Amino acid sequence: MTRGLDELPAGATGVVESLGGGRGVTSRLIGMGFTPGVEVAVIHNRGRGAIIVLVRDVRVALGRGQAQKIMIAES
Amino acid sequence: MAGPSRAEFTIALAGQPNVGKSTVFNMLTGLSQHVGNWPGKTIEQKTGEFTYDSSRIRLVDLPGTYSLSANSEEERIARDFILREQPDAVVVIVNATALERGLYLVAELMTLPVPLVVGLNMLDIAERQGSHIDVEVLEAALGVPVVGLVATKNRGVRDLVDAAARRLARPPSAAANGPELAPTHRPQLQRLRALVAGHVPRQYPEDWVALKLLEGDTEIAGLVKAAAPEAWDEIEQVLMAHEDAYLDIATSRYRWVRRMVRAAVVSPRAGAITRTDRFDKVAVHHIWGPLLLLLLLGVVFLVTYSVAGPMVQWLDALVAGPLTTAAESALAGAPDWLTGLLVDGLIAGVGTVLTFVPVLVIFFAALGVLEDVGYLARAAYVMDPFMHHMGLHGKSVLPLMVGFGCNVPAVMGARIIEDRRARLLTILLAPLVPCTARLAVLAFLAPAFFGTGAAFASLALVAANLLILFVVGVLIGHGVFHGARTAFIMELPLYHRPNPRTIGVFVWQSTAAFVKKAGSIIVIVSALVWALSALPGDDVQQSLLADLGRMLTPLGALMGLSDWRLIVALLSSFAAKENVIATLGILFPPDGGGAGLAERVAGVLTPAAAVAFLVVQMTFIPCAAVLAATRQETRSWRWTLTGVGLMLAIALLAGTLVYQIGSRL
Repeated sequence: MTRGLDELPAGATGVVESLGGGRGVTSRLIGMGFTPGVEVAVIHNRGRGAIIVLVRDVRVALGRGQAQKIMIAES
Repeated sequence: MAGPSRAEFTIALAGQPNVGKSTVFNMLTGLSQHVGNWPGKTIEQKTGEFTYDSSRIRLVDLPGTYSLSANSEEERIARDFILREQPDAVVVIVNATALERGLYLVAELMTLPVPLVVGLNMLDIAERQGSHIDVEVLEAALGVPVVGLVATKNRGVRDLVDAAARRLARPPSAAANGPELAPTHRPQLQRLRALVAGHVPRQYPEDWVALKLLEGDTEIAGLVKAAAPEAWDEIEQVLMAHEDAYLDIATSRYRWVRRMVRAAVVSPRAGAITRTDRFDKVAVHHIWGPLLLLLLLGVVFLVTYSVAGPMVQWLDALVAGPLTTAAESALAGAPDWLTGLLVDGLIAGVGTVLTFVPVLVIFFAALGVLEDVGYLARAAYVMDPFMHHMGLHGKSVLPLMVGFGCNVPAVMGARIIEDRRARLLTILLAPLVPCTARLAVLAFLAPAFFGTGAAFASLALVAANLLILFVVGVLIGHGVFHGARTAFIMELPLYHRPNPRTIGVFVWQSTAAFVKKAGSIIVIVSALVWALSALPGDDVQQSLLADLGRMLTPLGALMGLSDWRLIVALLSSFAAKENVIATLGILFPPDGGGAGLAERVAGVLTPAAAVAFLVVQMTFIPCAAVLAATRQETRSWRWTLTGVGLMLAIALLAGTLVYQIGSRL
């Protein structure tokens, strides 16, 4: 089962399955370390607003819109 | 030694944001830096020089970029510089605590035909977090020289220069073990390679062009299309059929990165709770976060005014006293108009610039500390929900915060916002942040206007000012820009101890930018305002400026400002906001009653008009320096004048509302 990264609660981890959104945004996400197969840990997620995730040892703030388009396979 | 034999070399410094690249740059070049713009761009270019083994090394600081795709102006600048200017070496700084992501950029750089050296920075923090990186193993795995660094402690920087010197103007690393594309798209890459062969400009390596084409790079596609129109149809067919290849390429690079990391990182990090996580429990909390931000801003202001205040008074006294007296006696035989122009125009203008300097130095130092420890990204994060209402995201908070010091660097700081519409809106909103000059006017007049309630009234006025900013932001964000939000993707760096040198350079450059840019404009406009007040005769009451003020009194009357002198004072704030006080000083001369200037001004104002005057003062048109900066950053007179019109409309509307409602209460 896959779901958007925004749906993972704080403390949860998952593996990125795909990156959605336009090419520009996808490319920026790749530069930040998001690629299919990478593990991400959600640090901060209140259910609304931007979330904070740990990807490749780096903390990244993501707008909810961006987080929704990153699909996660639950681990 | 195998050192340089030529007299001059160019080294480009590359790296992702938050890797300590500017610390390395500052260590090597000190204050011998030249800050300008990349040709034709509004992106800052820093170059510096140092001497190494009797050679002059020109160090070019490339913009911080996460990768080398054509997504942003920064990325295009960085790769174009390497390809077209062909520096003698590229030094790439990698953050040891974010090794995987940093090596991604290294992977991209390794495909370019340039000698490369890797500086592995923040090794101490990585160690503290429990991960040990074997620099020699990493070097062997990459096939590129790697130097360990703790730049903030100046450890390894010398070795880095030595390593770079050994690579200067040498052929690119033959031993480099760059990433290979996963098998899925290798045939397409070879096909593209064959198609572009012999068709691309000399500086561009064909392998790289083929790879970038497959990555869907629009800039390179345009380049190839123009250079090889006959081959383009076939190239396009390949690209259309493999639009998803870019993901495969990125994944291949990261897979290669993983291999390098696995080889070199001896003890993988334990998942311990770090200091950063502990701080962030508060700093990004939805309630404590904004409160902490408010508290920190309060401390910044307190420090700024308690430290800078006495210095400002001292400078003020120096300019008004000895300097003016000296100038007057030196000009004893000169005609009156010359003395007037020099003393009341130029020296007063220079004085205004001078008195800003301590305030700005202290403010920027405080802000620099918050930035350097890594806090400001958190401020942007907690403000994101507020900015959301304006169709902006958290990053816009960063330039706006600078605006409390001076609006000029705030307008220039809007460069960090990727999206053009969001950047424009931030630039339009920046002059609505009350700068130190406007706050100084407020602080000067408030006690006379409000008595014991001055502190409370001032705070309320600042809050009202920020509320106006918010409302205007929401209206423009939704009305003009239709609330379109761009992606919010921002790194939150690890907290670390501030580095005095980095902060020093930041303060120096921000203040120097103010003195250079704002300084000359303030002096010129001060001289102009003086001329208007001195022509045609001696009496300021009969001057052109007075005529202008009287002409505008019907408008002023709407806001309770029917005394032309108040209008003239507001007009003079175009030169510099602090001029309001100086102009009032000229127009309200001591009347022998022993009342101070602020009391004399308060005497001609009803309470409602007093509030209206302060509101207008705070929202009135941007000063000349901000106007010039806005023009420079937007490259559009239309947007610049829109900004002025907007501020004017806000000031008139707010002033009228305050007076009309206030006088009926």
